Amino acid sequence: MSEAILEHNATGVTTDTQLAAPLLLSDEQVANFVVRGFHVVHTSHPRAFHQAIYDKIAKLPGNPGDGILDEVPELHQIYNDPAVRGALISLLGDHYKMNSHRHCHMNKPGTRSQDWHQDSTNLRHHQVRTVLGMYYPQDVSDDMGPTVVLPGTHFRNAPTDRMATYANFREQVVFDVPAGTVAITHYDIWHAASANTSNKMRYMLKFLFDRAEEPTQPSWNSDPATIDDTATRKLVFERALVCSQSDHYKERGLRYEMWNHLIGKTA
Amino acid sequence: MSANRKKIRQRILYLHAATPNIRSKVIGMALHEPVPGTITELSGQPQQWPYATVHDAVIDEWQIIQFPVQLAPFDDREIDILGYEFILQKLEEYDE
Repeated sequence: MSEAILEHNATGVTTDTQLAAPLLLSDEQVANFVVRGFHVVHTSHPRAFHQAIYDKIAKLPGNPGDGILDEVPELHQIYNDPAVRGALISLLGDHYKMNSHRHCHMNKPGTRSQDWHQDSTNLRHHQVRTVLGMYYPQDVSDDMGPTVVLPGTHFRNAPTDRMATYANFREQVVFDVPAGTVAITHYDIWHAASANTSNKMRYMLKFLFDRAEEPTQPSWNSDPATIDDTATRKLVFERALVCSQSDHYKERGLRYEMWNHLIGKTA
Repeated sequence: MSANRKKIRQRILYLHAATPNIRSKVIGMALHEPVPGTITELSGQPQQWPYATVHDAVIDEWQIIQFPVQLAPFDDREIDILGYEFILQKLEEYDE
């Protein structure tokens, strides 16, 4: 499948081009997202392309907020990368939308960590309706204030104030990733920017993507012969992190609620 | 007044365990030292995990000053915060 779009080249000039076919996820990968709440993809652009984006952001006079896409239109190419589009289609359906809110997070050297938090308020659900697409235009080492997420916490409806006494968790996942990585996370996952103790700036472009229609069937590369076995193996038996037994039992139910919505199975 | 006067200060250790049992696994930790300018924060770098359980910390002379509340509201479908919070202290001498 290909479709015509307007693509911005490195100088910001728009040209007609074709989108490459999206690289859809497998049952295993979508079930893994349901269990853990995130999926990491690596875009296909050369390092020089990411460096050009980094340099352009570094020259901005301030943080443009939602206007970052106008200032750095090359970001369209990141979010139209076949691996990124494939993951977004798989998780949100064919007609997902880029949300009008986006932000360039600038983690300067010497910046202290954020506290663990979930975005927005605690009116939550157990479906995949919005995801974050976090793009890193530079290599991120573990001392550069990488984003940290806690697997499986997208099912936990926890007011951020009640997380204030947490610091490090044994099983937190650190996005110390190469330039060009896009980490796609469920909107509700617990996350934070860690401390930047290096002498390097760390940029992270956070874009939101929304589901536009209710699922009626898997929107990924699903195998009808094995999908049920895959779901059982992942959703019933896998642990995202160590927690109490009663939490794990409840987590299984919530995983199936999310999975059944994704495969279009109504109650 | 002595130039080397000692003061007793309270070191505070939050341990988040998988269950309210002090022998269950520690899944999270935050140590607060009673020294001006010290910080406790989230790091992307590998951490030291000196205690596998709260019981291990007690053996190392930490004293539990607050146990998790067992009578918290209970829901049999939804899950919220992660782990059970124990707060521990060590009283130690510090130079003024």
